[in-house]
This record gives sequence, structure tokens and C-alpha cells, in this order.
Amino acid sequence: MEPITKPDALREGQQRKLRQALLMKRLVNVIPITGTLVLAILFFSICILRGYDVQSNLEVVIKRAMIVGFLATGASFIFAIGSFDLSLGANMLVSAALGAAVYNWTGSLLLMLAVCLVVCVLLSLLNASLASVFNLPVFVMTIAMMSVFSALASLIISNVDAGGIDTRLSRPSNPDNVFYQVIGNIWFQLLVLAVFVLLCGFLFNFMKMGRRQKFIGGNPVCARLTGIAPTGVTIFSFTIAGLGIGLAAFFTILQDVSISASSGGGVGMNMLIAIVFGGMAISGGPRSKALAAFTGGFSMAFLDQFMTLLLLESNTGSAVTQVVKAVLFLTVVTLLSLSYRTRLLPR
Amino acid sequence: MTNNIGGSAAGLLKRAGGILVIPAICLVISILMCRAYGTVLFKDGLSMSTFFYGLAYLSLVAFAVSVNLHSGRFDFSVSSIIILSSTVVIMLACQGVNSVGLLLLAGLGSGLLGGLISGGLYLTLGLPPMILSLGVALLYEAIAYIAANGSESNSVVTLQPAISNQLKAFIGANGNSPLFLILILAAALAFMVLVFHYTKFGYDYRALQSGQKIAVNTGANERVNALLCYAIAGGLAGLAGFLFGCQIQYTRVSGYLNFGTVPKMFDAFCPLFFAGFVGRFCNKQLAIVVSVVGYEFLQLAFGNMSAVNTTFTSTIYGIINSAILVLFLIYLNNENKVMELVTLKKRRSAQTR
Repeated sequence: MEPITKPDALREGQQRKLRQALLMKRLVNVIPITGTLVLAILFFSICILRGYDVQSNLEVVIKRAMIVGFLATGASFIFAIGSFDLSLGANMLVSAALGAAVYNWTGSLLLMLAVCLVVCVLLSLLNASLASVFNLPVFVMTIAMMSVFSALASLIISNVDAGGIDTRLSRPSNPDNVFYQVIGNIWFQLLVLAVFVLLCGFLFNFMKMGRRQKFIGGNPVCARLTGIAPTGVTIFSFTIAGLGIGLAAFFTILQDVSISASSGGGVGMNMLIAIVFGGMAISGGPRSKALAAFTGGFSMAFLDQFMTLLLLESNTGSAVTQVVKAVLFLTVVTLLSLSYRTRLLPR
Repeated sequence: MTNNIGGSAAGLLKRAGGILVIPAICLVISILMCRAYGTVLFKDGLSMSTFFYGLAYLSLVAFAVSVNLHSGRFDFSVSSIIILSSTVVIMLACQGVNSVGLLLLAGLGSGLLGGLISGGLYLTLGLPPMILSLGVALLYEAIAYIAANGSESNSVVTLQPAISNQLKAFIGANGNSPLFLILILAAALAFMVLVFHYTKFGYDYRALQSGQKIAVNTGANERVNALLCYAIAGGLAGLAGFLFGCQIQYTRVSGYLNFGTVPKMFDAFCPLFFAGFVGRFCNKQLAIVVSVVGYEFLQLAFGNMSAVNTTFTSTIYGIINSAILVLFLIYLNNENKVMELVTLKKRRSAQTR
């Protein structure tokens, strides 16, 4: 047996470190999906052990995950290019208000869907162009636009009906009732979400555009120098995000039947939580994942419903649920960020 | 730039003009709008107390938001600290703590503690501040809810009427003197100027702001600085929470779950953008107060207008506020282009003559 020389030992040490880093990376990658599975098991266990109806509770979970899922999956495309948009929740509310008003006016579900999609894409592109044309800092600009969209949504809602827009969807005499029975069905909606997420995943992982997005998000200067035009990619990203928000708005109307200024409250922030919970970095770049929002959305929904059932009798159940959610969120994010720590404090 | 301007009388005049231009424009617009609606800006003692309350409260919130924001850290938890400390103040008042000073200390202390915990988590977990603050905001909102036992019927007005009157008098409500509000604002301003301009902490803060890596390499203790920033922001938010508690006097908690507190800090953004302009002529802290003065003129005018005309609703002035915000932001980021356009037009008209 030959003696181990110093360079060999060094190389072996380096390889061991590399193996450990790879193992760590693999472990970190499975945290989000493992978390979702654990929370799902907890949810089903409490339903079975305490005798709650699994079907109806599962429908609540899906309903909760749906809106955040659509919104956050679309938003992943914005975050992937290193951009940011805090106004997505408010954007959704504007288009839902307009969609509901148009439905009451025309009675057409198709037109309602079209309005929701077109309005969201236009507002999303407006944000993108405001940032690029007027050279505004994206983060600050989206905060300003969030105020504009929220005020606009309140104006639309208060002009149609001060108490909120009550659609004709739930009325038995509604001629669209046959269609509503189908598309209002939660399982159908879940199917649409699954198709949307898979399409986004395909775009993200198997198309040139997805790779360009990650490249721009990771290193915009380098991406530009290699010939990738950021304008086209930005427009594409904001358009896909707009489609996701539009679908979220459409299904918000279908689920709630009416729209008020508080509809979808907190959905803009929950979207951020879902994306991070799902294992994607908000800073975008190569670590971006299209499926993160879907996984994260379901984790949150399972957790919320599990805690609701667990603390059904408690006066402060919703707050305790929020504490658990916050602690879990911070734990998951800390675990996910273990592999890319810097010496300086992050900003 | 500030140093270049200072010195000559013309420079001083330019500087004073720059500082006062935004509040002056806002005042003129507010007076004109009120006149158009058949009302006046300061019509009675209530207008005065509303103005001074808004000025003190919003200045504190803007200070709190600005501490971390100017260092490139966006902190969502500021507004949740406001709600948490207001809940602490109200709960203590409901339980019979009848000293306004003690309640003020409780608000300040709970804010300070909230800020320290938030900063401690930032240092320990090493997460980006925005992501961390999402979790912290959720946590504080929930703690406020639990502290109030999920009930909105913890009312100082009904449970402790005497303390309720003291709190109202403190914030100058019902025509009382706004002296304490002015004192709090003056103390906060003096503290901010002193700490951020005349201490080693402030020197390090500005060094870290402009070049994090260089500042750390040259010996600035980034971790202590960040922790102190969070503590200061928390303390200021706690003070704002105390004022908010004095005003509402009941535990408004259910609407604040699930990021319901976050919009509270967005009120401070318009004055902060104004301060971006005013800050070229004076220090940032004074710029914030001056900008809040201008902003509060507009808010008072909107309130008075909606009182005389019911069609001028809060929704309408919400849109106007947002439009001002966006337009000002566009101007602020494209000022050079606007100036180029103006000088080009002047040059062209001179050439044609």
C-alpha cells in the first residue's frame, strides 16, 4: 500500500467537503416537499382521529391554496429575473372588481375571464414599463402602485355597490348555472391550477426563455453581454405573471361569488411566504423554481387547516396558528439559506 | 452638496427655499382646495389637534421606517410593532394603569424590545431583512391578538373613563393643547439628529450605507450597528404605537392578522419620498418632519373637504394620494431629464428669437 502524500490528502479533503456540500444541497432541496407531506399527514391524521369530514376540509385546503398558488406561480417569473412586485394582490383586486362588474353587466363568464386576464396583464405590464421607462426603483415603484391599485379597486367597488359587488353567479335562475356548476367545482379549479403550474414549469425548465430568465436574475450584466435582451424577457415575465394573477382574480370571483375591498386581503404577502416556503429565493436567479409556489401554497393551506381544526375551541386559535406559521416559516427559510451564507449581513 | 450650498446669503436663501418649497406648495394647494369646497383648512381646535396628531404620529412612523430603509434593509415589522405596542398600552390602561408617563414608557419599551428581538433574529438567522420581517410581522401581529385575548371590547373609554380622558388630553384631542405631541416630536427629532450625525454609531451607519464591504473592512461593527438600528426603529414605532393607542383606545386586533398591519407603514412613504427632495437642503431627519408637515396639510384639507361634501370620499383622496406618490417618484427619478428638457426648450426659444 502506497503512503498517502500531502497533495492526495488535500484532494481527498476537498472532495469530502464537496460531497458534504452536495449532500447538504440535496437535503435542502427536499425540505419544501417533505414539509408539505408532513403537514398533509398531520392534516389527514387530525381529520381521521377527531372524526372531521375529510372531503369538506380538503376542499377548504384546496380553496386556500388555489388563489395563492395561481398568484405566486405567476409571480415566480417576475422574481426569477431579479425583479419584484408587491402590488400583485392589489392588481388582482382591481381585475376581480372589474371582472365581477362586467359579469353582472353582460352575464358572460367568458367575458369575465377575458377581462380578468387582460386587466391583470395590462396592469402588470404597466408596472414593468413604469420601472423601465421612468427608471424607477422597482421595489419602491410597486409600493406606490399598490396604493394606486388598492384605491382604484375601492373606487370601482364603491361605484358599483358600496357594500361590494354581488355577482349573479349564485342565483338559481342564472343561465350560466350549468357552466358554473362545472367551473365553480373546486376539483375542476385544482385541475386548472395543476395545468397552469405544469405549463409554467415546462416554460421555466425546458424552454430557452426560462433559462434566459434565470440567467438575467443571476447576473444581469453577464446576460446582457452574452446577447440576451432584458426587455423582451421582462415583458414575457410580467405577461405570464399577469396571466397567473388574472386566473387568481377569476377564481376569487367564482369562489366568493361577491367582491369587496377586503377580498383577497393579505394575498400579496402570503404569495411571498408561499414562494419562500416552496424553496425559491426571492432574489431570483438560478435557484428559481416554478413549482415552489405550488408546494409552498399547499404547505401553508395544510398548516392553516390543521391548526384551525386543532384549536377549534380556542379563542385565540387564529393567532396561535399565525405564531406557528411564523416560526415554521423562519425555520424553513433559515434551513434553505444555509448553503449560501455570506460574511456580510444580507440586505 | 449641502456644504456647497451653505455659506453665502444666496446659498442660505436657496437652502431655506428648498426646505420650505414642499410644505409651502402643499399649504397653498390645501387652502385652494378647501376654498373650492367652501371650507377652510384650520377651522377649529379639532383641525389643530388632528394636524398635530398626524404630524407627530406620521413623523415617528417615517423615522422608524427610514432607519432601516436608508441602509437598504426593508422592514415589514415596523407596523406590527406599532400595533403590538398600542395593544400593550391599551391593555395596561384597561387594567387601571393611570399614569400617562408609565403608559408612554410601556409603549416605548415594548417597541424597543420588539425592535431588539427583530434585530437579534436578523443577526442570528442571517436572512434577508425583507424575508425575515415577513415572519416577524406575522409573529407580532399574533402576539398582539393574543395579548388582547382576541377581543376588541377592551375599551379604555368604557372600562377606565378617567384614564381615557387623560390619554385624549395628552394627544390634544377635543381642543386640548397639542404641547405633548410637539414635545415628543421635538425630542424624537433631536434624538435622531444627535444619534445619526454626532455619534460614532451615526458615522458607521452612514459608512455602511454607502459601502458595506469597505466600511466593514475598515473596522465598522456592522452587527452592533444593525442591532441598534432595529432597536431605534422599534423604539420609534413603539412611541407611534403609544400615540395610536391614545387615539383609538380599544384593542383593534382582528383586522390586523395575516399582514393586516402592513398598510399602516405605507402611509409614511409619500412623506419619505418628499424627504428625498427636501433632504438635499438639510439633514434627512429634518427633511422627514418638513415633508410630513406638507403631507399633513393635504390630509387635513382632504378630511375637511369630505366633511362638507360626501361625494369626496376617502377612496377619492386615496387615489389622489397615490397619484401624488407616483408622480413625485417619477419626478424625483427623472429630475435631470426634466431639467434638460426645460433648458433645451429655453435654448431653442432663445435661438429662434
